Amino acid sequence: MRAKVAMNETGLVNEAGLLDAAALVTRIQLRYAQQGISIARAALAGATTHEALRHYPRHDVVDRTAGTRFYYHAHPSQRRPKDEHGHFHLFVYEAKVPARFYHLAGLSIDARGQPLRWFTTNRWVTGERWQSATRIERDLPHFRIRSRGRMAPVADWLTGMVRLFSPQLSTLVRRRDAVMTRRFTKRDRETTFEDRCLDVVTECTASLPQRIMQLGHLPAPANLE
Amino acid sequence: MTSRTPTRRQLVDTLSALLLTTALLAPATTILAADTAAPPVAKADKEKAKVKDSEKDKDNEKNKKPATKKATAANPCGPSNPCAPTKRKKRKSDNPCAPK
Repeated sequence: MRAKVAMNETGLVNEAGLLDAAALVTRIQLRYAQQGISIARAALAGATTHEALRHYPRHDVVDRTAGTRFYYHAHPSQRRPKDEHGHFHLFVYEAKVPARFYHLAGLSIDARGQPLRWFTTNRWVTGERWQSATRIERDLPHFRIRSRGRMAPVADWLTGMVRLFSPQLSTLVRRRDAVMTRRFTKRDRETTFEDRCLDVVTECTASLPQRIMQLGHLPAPANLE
Repeated sequence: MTSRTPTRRQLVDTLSALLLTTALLAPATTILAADTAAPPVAKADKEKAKVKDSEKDKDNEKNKKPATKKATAANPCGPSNPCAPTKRKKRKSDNPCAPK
């Protein structure tokens, strides 16, 4: 899971690291777009149909070295954004116990591949081993997923997205823990973790233009809505 | 700071080009409605919750076990094979780590 990332003394990705991540993400997305392909289409891994709940690619993208995994899919949900095409689910595995994984976050995108929102889920949604925000924050700057073949750029794009939005993701998982802690006072932990009425716990915007503008007070491009 | 300026400038240019090109892209295939045979999670769970509430007083012990078992097995967004990163193993279907 460890990778060389520009970090500051607090262990967070520093400004240079964030700019690098922004450059990586935009470069990959632009390269696809210039070929007439969106991230949403690339995420379907060559499939011509888009079936609800089916994983794309079928057996997920797994980075055995980093102990990470992702897949893309879509399904109806009450909290699904109106213009969502589908979403990625990102997972991190424990190095010593291969069956133990946690859900880092989900990332929704629209039909043209523009990121819409990051979200965290309740435990039952993925069957994860619940990890605290502190632990997730520790792993965040080191998250990377590499793949070969057609999914390699998508994997790199997701690595860049996690890095670029690492401060937001950090806040997101902290807020998730706060929500869960509040709920634990009303119902026991197990019941709360299995509460089917609670799927998405927290969410935040994943707007790429907005995020890039935040970095170093950049001038907004003329075509930015 | 000065050394980063070209990167920032480049970033704005790339973003600008990206926004223009993306606007011209054809939207990706939308989800197939016919394949939504798997019930929407929230709906199914609401029904399950209703049943649970009504039977709660009658037979609490009988209902609790199967409900919990079913609940842990249903992880609609779990990885397709959770053990894949190090070793591919076949898991029992009732194992919470093997949703498929």
